[in-house]
Amino acid sequence: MINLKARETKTLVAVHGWAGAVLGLLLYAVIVTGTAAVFSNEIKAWSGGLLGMNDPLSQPLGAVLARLEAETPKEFRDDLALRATPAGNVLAFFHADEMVNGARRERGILYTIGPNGRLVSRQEGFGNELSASDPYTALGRFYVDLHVRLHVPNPWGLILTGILGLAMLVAAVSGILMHRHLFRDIFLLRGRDRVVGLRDLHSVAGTWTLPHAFVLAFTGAYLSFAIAVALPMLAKIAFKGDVRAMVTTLNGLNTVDARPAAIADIDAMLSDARKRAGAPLLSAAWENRGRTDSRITVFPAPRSGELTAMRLIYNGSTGELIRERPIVGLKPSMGASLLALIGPVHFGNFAGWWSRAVWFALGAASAYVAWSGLNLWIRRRFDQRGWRALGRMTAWVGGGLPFAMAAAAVAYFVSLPSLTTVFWTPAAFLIAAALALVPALLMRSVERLPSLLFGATGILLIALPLLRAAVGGPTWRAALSAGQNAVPTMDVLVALCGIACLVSAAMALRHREPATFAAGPVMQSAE
Amino acid sequence: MAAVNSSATKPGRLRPWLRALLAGPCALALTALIMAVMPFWVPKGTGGVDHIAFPLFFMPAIWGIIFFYALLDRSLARVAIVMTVLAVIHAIALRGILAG
Repeated sequence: MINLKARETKTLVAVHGWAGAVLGLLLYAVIVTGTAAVFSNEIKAWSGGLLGMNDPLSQPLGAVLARLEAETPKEFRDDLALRATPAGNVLAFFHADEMVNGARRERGILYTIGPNGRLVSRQEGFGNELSASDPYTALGRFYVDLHVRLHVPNPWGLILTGILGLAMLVAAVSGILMHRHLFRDIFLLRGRDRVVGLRDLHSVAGTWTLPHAFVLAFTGAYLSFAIAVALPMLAKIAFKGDVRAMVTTLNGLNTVDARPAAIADIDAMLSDARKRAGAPLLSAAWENRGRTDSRITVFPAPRSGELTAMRLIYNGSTGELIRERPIVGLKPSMGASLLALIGPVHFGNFAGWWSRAVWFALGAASAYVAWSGLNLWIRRRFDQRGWRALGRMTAWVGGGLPFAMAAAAVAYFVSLPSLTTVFWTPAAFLIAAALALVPALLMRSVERLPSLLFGATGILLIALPLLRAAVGGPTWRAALSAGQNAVPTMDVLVALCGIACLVSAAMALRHREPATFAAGPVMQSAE
Repeated sequence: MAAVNSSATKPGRLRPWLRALLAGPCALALTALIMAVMPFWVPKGTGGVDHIAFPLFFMPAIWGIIFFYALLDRSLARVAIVMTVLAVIHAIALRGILAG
């Protein structure tokens, strides 16, 4: 039991409510998209239809890379980035740094290598643009971008989601402090009276998800602010603008030696790295190829049962291991350990499917907490015109966001054969959001709108596995024989989510309570 | 209750806004100042990066403590004084660091 004086409790209730009322809809959007983004890699593997292999960086790559290098213009051969895709292929990006408007950018040729060294695609351009134009991962990237920056340009999108993270932190902490009977409220569900019932559900769901919400808010605020504001600020102040000093401290910069040297055997290095790491390799960055100061940094996945992995640095001309290092700094440290915890704890990928399933469920519950909290706030003020307008917005976003996300997935699969997914995925999201807005504006009472939209979302979600198969997506047998269990698992998960949406919508529509937003005389005069 | 109501009358009309100013923009600015100075007093640690990693990691916590303090301390004057003193100390330290 937490005992605060009445005045402090009143302040906390006001802050809890106003934080939710002002930022609640955006917070709901970030939580819902974050819940989907828990499975972003699986969504990319499931939706892309490009079946690769398990641990694709374990296949022999030396010969195919030598062949691709010969086809690559000389100016792009300095650096090479290798990455295992979620679908089990390898991206090989031969590139060089270019300064564009004062900013360093990587430009070169991106090859997609399938199993047995088969070349899948070849593209030329800037690294970030090539990644953004990949039609096979457009759906997963769309959800992630919506979650990370709400599609607002950098750095403002990150700053906005950072503020939302702080707002969630405020809501979580104030929620803990203002509860008079925190533990009793965990199990308190009274009757079917609409407002009391909704408040109890909000409290129960909020209490159960508090630790998770607190951790996600803390790490989310860190991830947004650290990249957008804090790291550049600290670099300027702590290193007085000396970028080289900062890179030396954080990553360990080797001394410059541009003398020509042999190119080490990539297969031998990756094989050694896999043995040392005891886990599949995720990516590798090879700098200054063909020079004495050439270095390869290999990024393995964490070992089974561990949260983080050490990075391995190899000499790119001799192939010898130089050192292992943590996420920042050259030696293990408390600071590096803390920063390394952020990713796994935020993304929920520390124990494979199980941890992600738990993070998904808790994320869905947190989304319900944000949405029900907003509804509670509005229902107490539904006789005021401004709050009624927010009520309509809440009904629109609450049901419309999942509906638009499902519609984006449908459009993705429909446009996949023509490889126009990069355009149609966001376009369908906006069209579906606009369609959902029409009833939100026109319906006399919007109480039933979220349930109707949830029902429509359920239908779309159930259709997705069928649509995926209809446009030539891999069968379960083909996926499982390629070691890609993401395909059948996501099919089942999406269908289950669809059924859950349909059932909850049917239950809500059957339970016809007196509508608190019912259009009485006040409502009619407002409209 | 009467005491609460009387404090919310005329002389106290600005109090919520002042508190919002202190807990909102001022708390953010003070957090940035504290973070900016932390690399110069936090030990570098065995890896030589703790002075950078700690301010980054604890940034939400630093902000949260300042925010809830500005919100819950009954004396608005005390909140203003504490935050100002902290800001002045850190601003002087930062100026010294940047000049040196």
